[in-house]
Amino acid sequence: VDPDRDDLSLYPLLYWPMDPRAKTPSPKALSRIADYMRNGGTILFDTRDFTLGAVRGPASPGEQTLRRLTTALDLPPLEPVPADHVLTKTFYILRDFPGRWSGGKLWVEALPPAPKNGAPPARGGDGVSPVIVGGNDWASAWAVDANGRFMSTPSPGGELQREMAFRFGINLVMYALTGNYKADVVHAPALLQRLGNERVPQ
Amino acid sequence: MTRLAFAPVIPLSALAVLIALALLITLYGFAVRARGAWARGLAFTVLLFALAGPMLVKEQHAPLNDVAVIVTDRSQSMALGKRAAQAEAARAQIKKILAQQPGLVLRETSITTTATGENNGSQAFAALNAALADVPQGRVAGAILITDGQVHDAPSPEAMTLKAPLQVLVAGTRGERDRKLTVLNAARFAIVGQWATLRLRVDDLGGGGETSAMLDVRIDGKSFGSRTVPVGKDTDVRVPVSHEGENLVELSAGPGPAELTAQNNHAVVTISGVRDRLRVLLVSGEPHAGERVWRNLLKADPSVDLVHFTILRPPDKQDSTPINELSLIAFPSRELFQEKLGSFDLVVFDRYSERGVLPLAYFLNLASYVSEGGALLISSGPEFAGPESIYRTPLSQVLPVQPTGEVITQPFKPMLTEDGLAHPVTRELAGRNQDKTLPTWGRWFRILGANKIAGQTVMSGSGNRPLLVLDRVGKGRVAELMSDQAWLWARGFEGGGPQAELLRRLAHWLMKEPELESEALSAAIVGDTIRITRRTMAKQTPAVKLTMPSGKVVDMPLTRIEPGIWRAETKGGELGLYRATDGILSTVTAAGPLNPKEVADMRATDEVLKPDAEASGGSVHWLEDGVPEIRRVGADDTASGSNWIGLRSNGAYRVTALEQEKLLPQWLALLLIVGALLLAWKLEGR
Repeated sequence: VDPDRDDLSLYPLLYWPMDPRAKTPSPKALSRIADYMRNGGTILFDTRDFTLGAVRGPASPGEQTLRRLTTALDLPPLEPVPADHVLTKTFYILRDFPGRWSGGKLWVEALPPAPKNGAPPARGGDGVSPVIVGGNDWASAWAVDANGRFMSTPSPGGELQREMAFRFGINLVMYALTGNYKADVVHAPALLQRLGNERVPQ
Repeated sequence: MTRLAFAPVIPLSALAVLIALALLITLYGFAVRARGAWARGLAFTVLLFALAGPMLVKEQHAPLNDVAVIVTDRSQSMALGKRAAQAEAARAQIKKILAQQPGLVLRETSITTTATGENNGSQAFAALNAALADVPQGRVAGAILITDGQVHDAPSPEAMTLKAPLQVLVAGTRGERDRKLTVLNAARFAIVGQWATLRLRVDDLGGGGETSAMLDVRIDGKSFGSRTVPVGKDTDVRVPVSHEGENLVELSAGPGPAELTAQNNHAVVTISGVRDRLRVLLVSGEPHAGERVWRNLLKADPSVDLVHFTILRPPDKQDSTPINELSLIAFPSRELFQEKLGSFDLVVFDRYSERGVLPLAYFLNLASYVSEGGALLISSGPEFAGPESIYRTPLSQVLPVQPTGEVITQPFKPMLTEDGLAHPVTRELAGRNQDKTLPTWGRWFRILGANKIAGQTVMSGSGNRPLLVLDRVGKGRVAELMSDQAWLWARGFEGGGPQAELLRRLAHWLMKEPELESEALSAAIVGDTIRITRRTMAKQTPAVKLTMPSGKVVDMPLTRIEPGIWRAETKGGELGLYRATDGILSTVTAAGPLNPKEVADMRATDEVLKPDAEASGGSVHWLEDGVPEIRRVGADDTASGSNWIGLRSNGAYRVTALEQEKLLPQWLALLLIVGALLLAWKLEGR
C-alpha cells in the first residue's frame, strides 16, 4: 500500500512495520493517513525492536523511525492497553500480545477512565483506537515462505508464542472490524431484560 | 336663548369673604336695632352685585345630529339556517327607516370570523366600540345589534362603555337544540407504543332526552371503532399512539336528537408521537468491514437501544482451542427470535447467512413478525447468492428479491431510479443523479444479481440491477440492500456518499414515520389558505375533494411541483374541520383552536345580551316575531316596548353666536351705592 497512490479507505486495518530506511511520507500522504484514521481506520505501528539489545528503548531505530514518520500526524494521547480493553477479548481471551518477541507494551488511544459506578462513559466516535503501537514484530511470527514453513522462531516462547501471535492477529482484525462490539455485548442480557412485550394494536 | 351670567371682577374667594363680612355687619345692625341697618344692607348688596359682574348672554343654537350604529353579525354561526337572510332583511329594513329620521346619522359595522388568529369567537362589543370611538357620549342615539346572540365579549352591565340604549335583534329560532362535542383535555405528546388519553364531553344543548351518544374515533383517517359515551358527562377515551410524528385523532359524535349543525360534533386532536427508545436488533452474520459502520450509525443515535450480535464463529467451524481461552458469547437465539422479537422496532440482518445458527422456525417467526407490523432490513453480501442464503429459509416469503446466484464484482455508481427520485427514502439525497448528470458520490464494487419480485426499486447499480428494494408485507415493511458496500460511503472512499442519511431514512421509513410515507395526503392551514399536499409515486393523481366545515365541497386538481410531490391550494376562512380525500387516502385538518368558541354553542339565544341590553335601557327582540318598530325617544324616556325599540333624541346642539351685555354699568352702581349710603346716614342722623 502506498499512501501517496492508493485509496486507504478500502482497508479496515493497516500494518505498518517501522523500517529505518523508509522515506518520510509526503504531506499529501500524511493528510490521507490522517483522513484514514479519522474515518475509522486503524493502523498498527510495529517498531519490531523490543529485544534489540543495546539500542532498545526510546533511542532504538524502530522508535526513531516511528517518531520521524509520525511527527506530522496528529496522534491522540496513548496509554498501555488496560487489562479490560476490548482488544483482549474480541475473539480469544488474551493477557499479552506476543509476536516474534514477547513482553513489550502495546499502546492504544487513551480513553477516559470508566467511572466507579460502572456506567459506561460517553465516548467520541465509537471508541476504536485509530493507532496501536507495539514492538513485538508480529509479521515475522506470522510469516511463512513459499513452502508454507515459518520464517522465524518466536522467542522466547517458541511455537506456543506463535499460536498466541496468531490469536493476537485474529483479535486485532476482529477489533478493526467489529469495534467495541465485545465491550457492548456484555450489556445485551440486561438490555434484553428491559425489553417488555407490550405492543399496541396497529 | 338668553341667560344671566356672572364675570366677577375680584377672585371668587375674596367675593365670598366680602359677602360674609357684609352679612355679618348687617345682621349685627339688625340685632342691635341700629337705625338705617336695612339701608346699609342695601348699599352692601349693590356693591357686591356690582363686584360679581353680572351680564346678560344671548346665544344662538344649531341642533346636532345623533349617531346610531347597526352592528351586523356575520360570524360563522350566522351561516346556519336562515339566520343570515333574516339578519340581512332586518338590516335593510332598519336602514331604510333610519334614513328617513331627521337628525340621525347611521353608522354600520359587522363581526366576522377568521379561521386563524386568536380564539375570540364573535367580538360584537369590540366592533361596536370601535364604530363609536369618535362620537361623544351625548350624541349617541343607540346601537342596534343584529346577531344570533352568541357574543363572546359581552361586558358586565356596569362595565359597558355604551351609554345609550342597546337594542338587540336576535336572528334564528327560539328553542334550538344542538349536540356538541368538547375536547376538555388532550395530550399534545405521547410515547409511541403507549396509549394517549383524551377527555371529552358530549352535550345535548337545549336538552334532548338521550343519555348516551355514539362516538366515532378515527386515527390517521382509519376507523378505530365507535363507542358509546354518556351525554353531559366527562369521558376518557384512550387511543393508541402507533407511530412517530403527528397522529391525527378525529372524534365525531353521532347526530343528536335535534341537530342545528354538525360542525361542533367533530374535533381533531393531533398527538405528536415521540419514540421512547428505539429498539434495534442488529445481527451480523460475520465480522466484515461494513459492520462497524452499522454499529456507529445506530449507536450515534442516543434514542436507539442497540442489541447487536455478531456470529464470530459459526457452529460448523470448530478448533481445538479450549473454550476458556475464547471470548465467545452464546447467541441467545431463543430469547431474541421467540420471546422478545415483538418488542424490537427494527431488525437488521447484516450479511447474515443460514449456517445452522437459527432453527428454521425462527425464520418463520421473523416472517410473521414482519407481516404483523414489524420492520426488517437486509443488507446482503455474497452469502445471499450462495447455498446458505437466507432466501432458502422460510424468511423468503417476505423478501422482495430473489437471488440469481451471481455475485458481480465490478465498480459501479449506485443510481437513484425514477421511483427513487420520487420516493421519500431516497429523494433529494445529496449528490444524487439528476436528469442527465451522474451522481457525485463514490463507487461500490459488489452487487448481487437478483430479480425483484415485489415492492419498488429505488436504487440500482451495475447494469440496472436492483440495489435497494422497498416493500410492504402485510402490516410490516422490508427493505433489502443488494450490496454490502455502503460502508465505502461512510469511510469517504472517492468522496464517500450520503450513507448515514440514506440508512437513517430507510430505518425510519421501515418504522413507518409518516413523513417518509410514499403515498400520503396531507392538508395544512397556512394563513388563510388550505394547502393540500399529495406524495405519490404515481404518474397521475386524481383531484382532491375538499369538504369545508360548512359542508361545501370543492374539487381541487393537483399539480406536480417536483418528483413525487403534488400540491393544490385554496382559500379557507372557516373555522373547523376540513376533510380532503382523493378516493383512496383521506386526511383532515382543523382550522382554529381545538374547541373554537365560535362553534361551541351555535344556538340562537337572547340570554347572553339581555343583561347588557336592559341595563342600557334597550331590549332584546327576536327577529322571528318581525322587525320591531323604531321610535325616537327623549333622553330620559323609556327606550323600548314589546313591539318597538327606541333610539334616543339627545337634543345636543352647537352654539353659533353669542352676545354679552353688562347688566349694571359702573356709573349706575356708584350712584346707587352713594344713594343708599346717604339714605343710611340720613336715617341714622335722626
